[in-house]
Amino acid sequence: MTTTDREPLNPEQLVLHDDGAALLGSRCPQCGLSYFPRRWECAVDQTPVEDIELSRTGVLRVATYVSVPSYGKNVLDAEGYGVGEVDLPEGVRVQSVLGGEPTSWVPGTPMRLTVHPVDELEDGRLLVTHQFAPKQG
Amino acid sequence: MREVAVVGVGMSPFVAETTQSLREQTYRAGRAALDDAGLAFPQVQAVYMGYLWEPTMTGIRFLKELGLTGVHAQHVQNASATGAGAMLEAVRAVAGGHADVAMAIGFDDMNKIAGAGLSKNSAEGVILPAAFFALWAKQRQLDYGTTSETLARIAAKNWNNGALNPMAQRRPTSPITFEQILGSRMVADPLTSMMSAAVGQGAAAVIVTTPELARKYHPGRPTVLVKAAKMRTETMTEGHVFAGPVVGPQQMTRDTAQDAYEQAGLGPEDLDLVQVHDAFPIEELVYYELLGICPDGEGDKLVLEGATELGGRIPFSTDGGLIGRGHPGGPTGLAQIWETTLQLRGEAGARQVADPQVGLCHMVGGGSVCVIHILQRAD
Repeated sequence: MTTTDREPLNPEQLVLHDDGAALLGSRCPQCGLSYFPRRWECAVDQTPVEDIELSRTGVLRVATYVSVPSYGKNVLDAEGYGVGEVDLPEGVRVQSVLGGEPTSWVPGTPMRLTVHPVDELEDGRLLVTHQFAPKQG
Repeated sequence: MREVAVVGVGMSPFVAETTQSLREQTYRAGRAALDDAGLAFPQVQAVYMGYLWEPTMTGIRFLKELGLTGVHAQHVQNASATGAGAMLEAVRAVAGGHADVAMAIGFDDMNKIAGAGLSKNSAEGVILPAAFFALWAKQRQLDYGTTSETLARIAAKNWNNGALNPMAQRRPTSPITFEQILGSRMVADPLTSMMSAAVGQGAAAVIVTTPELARKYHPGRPTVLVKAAKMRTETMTEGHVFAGPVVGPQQMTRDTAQDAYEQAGLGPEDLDLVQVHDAFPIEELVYYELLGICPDGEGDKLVLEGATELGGRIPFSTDGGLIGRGHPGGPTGLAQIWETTLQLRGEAGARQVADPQVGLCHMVGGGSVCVIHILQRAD
């Protein structure tokens, strides 16, 4: 699948490259804090921030399996889904849907950013959003 | 700033469903608060109305059922903390001298939340309250070894407290055991359906005034003072999450509590009962520590000792909390004030705490905010 087959659900948060997806963040040049999603000023010192692409790998902090999807169910085929928090090297913590097997969602597990489809556009392209899955190899 | 007292409280029962309209439930809660206060609606000089799931203008429309007096009226909205926020505004109106008598009134039907989050899959769409607080529970298990049984014991306590509250949505006819809680349907590991807040509808109202007027209206009744009314939003913390979280860092509750204790001139050691945002038992467990009832990591011990049960050292969620009494949305924080006021007056019936002097009410609202009130019996 190429980037032309897909479109990010939220282009303000996710960019699709030929070699993979990346989350769009910000970094404060004054204090060095990084953020996801992008913002205009640092939340601490109000300095204008720089746009960055965040690391595509991180470490799983905590995870759960949601058995009753409730009002998220219309976009999920499975009976349930995993969500967790992933810490990126920039010091950014991201809450995300998880891919892979639930048994692999062990805190401390290296994770990589992937995408998964949530809808199909009229022209046949897939609308995708981000998720993290255990890093292979 | 003037001192403020609660002079009237009223509720319409929290229920899963009813043929009674939300308009009538709201009227009945407001009328009950006026009757409890011994006041007529024309004496109310400011009204703050909290709701989440009804269309714009609904609050002002419902208010007409109490009378057309030209009263100052504002809608207040702050997610789960909506009712608590309305209370805070009413308190500030009296404390600031803008009104001698102010009403906070909340109503809602949480079943209508089902319309939210229907946009496509995103952090906001799938990290729902159950998933979010399940992550709290999972982290707690890693940090302190908290067991599902401890969470189930908190939930069972709140179900059983609800059984003693005529306004509660969940009123089991026989005692609920922690085994039943554990055996109910898994929602988001390790949280089960019986650990989840009761979703329903209802209304609640509180009337505040000055202590002098409260004593004048009810010379024989204990005066319930509002010793603290504080609100905070988030401050930056390590690993701060901006996209998707339901509520912000736990530190927000600790900081708001500190503000409230300072304003009241009281501390956690002075509390006799506490109401919290126990949408799931992991919250109540964590709040034991964030409110300073015990050191970090020792909340589990409080549960096993029964310290937070009715009859224990510091009862929590005496009316059933969000799990037992219910969580319609707009009125939830006001139901906490209703319960704490009745307890401090000695009017809480079968769930009465022995001679309480001070009660704390805590709510968090998604986005996020924390609101804390401390009430004290004055005489």
